Amino acid sequence: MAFDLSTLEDGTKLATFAGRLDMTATNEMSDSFAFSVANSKGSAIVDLSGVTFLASIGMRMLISAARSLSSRGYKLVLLSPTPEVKEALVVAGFDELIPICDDRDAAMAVLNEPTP
Amino acid sequence: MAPSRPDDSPASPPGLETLEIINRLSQLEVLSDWVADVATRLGLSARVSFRLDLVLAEAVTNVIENAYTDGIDHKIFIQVEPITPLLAVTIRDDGQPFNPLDHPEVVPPKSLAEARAGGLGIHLIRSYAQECRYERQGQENQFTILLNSVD
Repeated sequence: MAFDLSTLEDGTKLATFAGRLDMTATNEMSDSFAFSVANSKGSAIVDLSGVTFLASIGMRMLISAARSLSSRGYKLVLLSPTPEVKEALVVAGFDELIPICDDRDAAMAVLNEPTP
Repeated sequence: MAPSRPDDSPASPPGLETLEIINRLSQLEVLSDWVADVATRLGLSARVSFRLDLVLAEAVTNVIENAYTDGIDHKIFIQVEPITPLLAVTIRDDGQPFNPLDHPEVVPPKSLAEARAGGLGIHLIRSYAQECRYERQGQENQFTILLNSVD
């Protein structure tokens, strides 16, 4: 599992995961993900296009980050999950809680929508 | 202790896949590697392979985290049997009685603030399965998950 972090021009964080987001990987990177994304100032896009497996513990890491950002007025958007990963997120009911977008422009549009 | 795959007995039906692991979370990697091999041998689609991977990871994690209190190594036996159009997935362990189906159905959270950790694994298993069964047989838990083997 690889985890890369970059900052877009407008300050949005772009976190990119690749590989299996299983228990081992989630335990290894949850602290750095929380530090660099969930607890940071600004909204975040999490690119899941390279994620081949997503266990419940990985889903909980994502929902925890979304909750942390939301509580401070920021947003988290999931970008381009594979059909299998997207299905798992839908089965978990998380698609109702975290926007899932198919491309970066759509993700930016969601982030720029006014918060209700 | 290295994981091992017991030889199938001569009476094993064709296509029966078995794995034996120890009750340590580090063995989940052995499990996922085995699932990838099984998916190839059985010709499973990406979708079915992902579902098999996920339900086994969640079910075995539940066993390792909940069925043991003595701190010593125990064997967990995993079996996947294709019974077209289903896959019968069975997990056996000698831990204390632990029925994952005792966990109440998770109500989908309506907001991020409501979303909590507990029960997500068994919710995913129940959602993907055609049927789940738990039995206590002697000193063993036996949990069976029936998955569709085709998309």
